[in-house]
Amino acid sequence: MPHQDTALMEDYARAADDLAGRLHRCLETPGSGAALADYVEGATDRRTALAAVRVLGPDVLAPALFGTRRIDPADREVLATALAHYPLDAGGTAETMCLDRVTTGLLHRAEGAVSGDGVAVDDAVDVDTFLRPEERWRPWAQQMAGVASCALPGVCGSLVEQARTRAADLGRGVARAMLRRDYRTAARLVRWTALADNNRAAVDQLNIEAVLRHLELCGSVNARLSLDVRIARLLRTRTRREGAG
Amino acid sequence: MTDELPVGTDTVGRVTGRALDWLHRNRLYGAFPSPESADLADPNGYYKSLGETALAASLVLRERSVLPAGHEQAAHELLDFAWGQLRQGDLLYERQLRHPLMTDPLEVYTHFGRGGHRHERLDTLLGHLAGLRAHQGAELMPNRRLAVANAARVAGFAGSGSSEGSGGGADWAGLLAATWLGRLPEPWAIDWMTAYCMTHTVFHVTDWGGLPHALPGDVVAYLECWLPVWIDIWTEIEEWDLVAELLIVDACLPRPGHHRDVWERLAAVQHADGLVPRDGKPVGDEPEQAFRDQQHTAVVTVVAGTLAQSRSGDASPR
Repeated sequence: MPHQDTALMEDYARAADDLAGRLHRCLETPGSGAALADYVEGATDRRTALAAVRVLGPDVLAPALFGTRRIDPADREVLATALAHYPLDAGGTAETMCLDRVTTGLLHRAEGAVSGDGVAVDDAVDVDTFLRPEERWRPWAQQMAGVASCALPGVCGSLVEQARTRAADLGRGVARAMLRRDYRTAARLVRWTALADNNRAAVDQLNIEAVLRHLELCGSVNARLSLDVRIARLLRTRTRREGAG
Repeated sequence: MTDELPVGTDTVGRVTGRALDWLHRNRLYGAFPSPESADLADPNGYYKSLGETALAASLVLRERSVLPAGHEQAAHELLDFAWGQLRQGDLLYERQLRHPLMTDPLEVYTHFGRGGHRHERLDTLLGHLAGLRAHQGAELMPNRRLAVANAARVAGFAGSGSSEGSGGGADWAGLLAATWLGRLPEPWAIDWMTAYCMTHTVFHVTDWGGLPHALPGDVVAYLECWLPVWIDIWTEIEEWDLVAELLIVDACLPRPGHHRDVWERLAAVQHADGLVPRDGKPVGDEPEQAFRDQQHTAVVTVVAGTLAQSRSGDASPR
């Protein structure tokens, strides 16, 4: 994806906000129809709309994964088109490779094309090189924030395992982001804390419910932040339900 | 004294030694303009900074066995200088006599007591006041109440700071529970002023690192988890005075993290003459004003570095 044209990047960012708002509404209100296809067809610029689909990565599947929308064939077509328009080039980072691997894996899983424990990125990315276990909490948490769109139902493997074993470092990342009023990063890391079922003390001290409420109050005008907060809430509900079961 | 103190060979030792040297070399700027100008009703004037200097000196003396040669002499001279400014304790005595509910004479006196200075009439007066319900019930911030309790503990006035049901000694658990830190609060909801309150809670419960196991286990675990975050964010915005206070907190824990990278940052901002700036703003050229503005940061740097060196054997480097 070209990065030189600032105006174009601003267009992509606006489109990503629009799509995030649409996905958020889909998560709030179960319904039918092709959310992605409707969005792309209604957009003034189709290429920019497809770019937004790529920017949001696995999150475009969130309504299907949380059961508020099914994957429509038209949505699948949009995803395939977006991947074709904006393929991951040879210079793709481990972060973008993770996001792409999870997007395609979750799509196949949501369609019932694959079964098993879930989607892992391990066969495409050496996670322990990208997220080195010995890395200190701050850079590690920043990396985890970069792949927070992978914190979705149906994802497993090293990414989730690191979130689970380094719950305290996730918590430190959340606290740091909150203190710096970097609410986007805070919301993205909170998504991972929903999957961190070990070392609860650090997460409990954060008072995640209060963090989420604070983010809603401070960042409600940011559509992508609101989407992260909504997904974090749904993940927490799901984790608690599975824990109770 | 020589012109320059010998300093440790590592970063902590260098920063600490140079800060102590700066404090010692510039100590006359902390003197009362004249004995008559010592205002008993103004604790925030020269009196407060003299007490802070005495604190640093008293802790250097407490930990002298691990420090380079020369530090002990500098600390003695600083303590003697401040004691002289307080007219060998008479000023503290007169202030306490005139204002029986004020706690700062005891808090300041403790530093001198730790360093070997006593004032007989003040001892008698403080012993009398410690038994008063009026004194025990003085309206104070929770972390300040801990300061009084620790001062009483160190100076030997066990009755002061006590609360009902504590059997005559301070109810440390109750006093700690009343503070911000005692609630193990959401770590992202701290602010600059509360951070200072939190540091002082730790200082007083542990008697400035002298009792590193005095904090309850849940508070230790809480600080081990969140202290690195607070150090990180206040280092990022160059609040060096608060960063040094947070490093003292680290040195007060059973397993200090030592944060060598932060000490490297302090070393990088320390001026050639040993001054440690309180924040990232420019420091004025006028020496007396520079002393007034930056003296507290030198004090907390000396304390942080002294305790870090003393606790180096209990390292859990982060």
